[in-house]
Amino acid sequence: MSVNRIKLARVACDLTQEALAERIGVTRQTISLIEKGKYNPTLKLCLAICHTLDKTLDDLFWD
Amino acid sequence: MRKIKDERLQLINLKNSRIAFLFQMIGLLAILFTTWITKGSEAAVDSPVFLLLMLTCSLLAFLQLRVSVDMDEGKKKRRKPLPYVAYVFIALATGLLMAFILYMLERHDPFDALFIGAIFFICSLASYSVVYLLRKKRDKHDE
Repeated sequence: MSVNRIKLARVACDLTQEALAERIGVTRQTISLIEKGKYNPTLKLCLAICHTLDKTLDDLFWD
Repeated sequence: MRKIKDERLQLINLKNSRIAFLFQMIGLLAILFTTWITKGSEAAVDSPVFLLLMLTCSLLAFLQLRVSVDMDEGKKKRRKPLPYVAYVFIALATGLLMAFILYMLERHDPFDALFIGAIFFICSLASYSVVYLLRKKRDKHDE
């Protein structure tokens, strides 16, 4: 599940939701909703998450 | 107030603005309807609220011009576009017909009838020209 993969990648980078959100320029709630699969992010935001966590789109978002 | 950078919040903001706009529109229409019922249609049209409504509708229509789907159906069903002269004739016919109707049926001054007919001609020709250019551009693009 991509939902857990984002969380795992974030934890692997030793980042909290707050820290990741701050780096990307979104709110913590948005990160939380993406991890839960309750918000469908734009490609731009997906790429920003990938760049920050040093992963590819396939790694984080492809089922 | 800080500028919202979060795309999710921007979307929510947009949705909220839409709801507020809808509420405002309903309010405007309600005010106009009340004025129309209590003071008559002339008072409703004279009211600045009516002008605001018309301007809002025009602005919305103008902004929506860029938000459009292709009106023509598939390539198979598409007819061959008429030559530009045909559009000029159609526009001319529209203008003359309007001038004729105004002169014969409404008993307008001949100069006024011709003037209004000319306005109809120019407006029709302008819109037909835009359609013609768009079709030509797309046909060129399809080739």
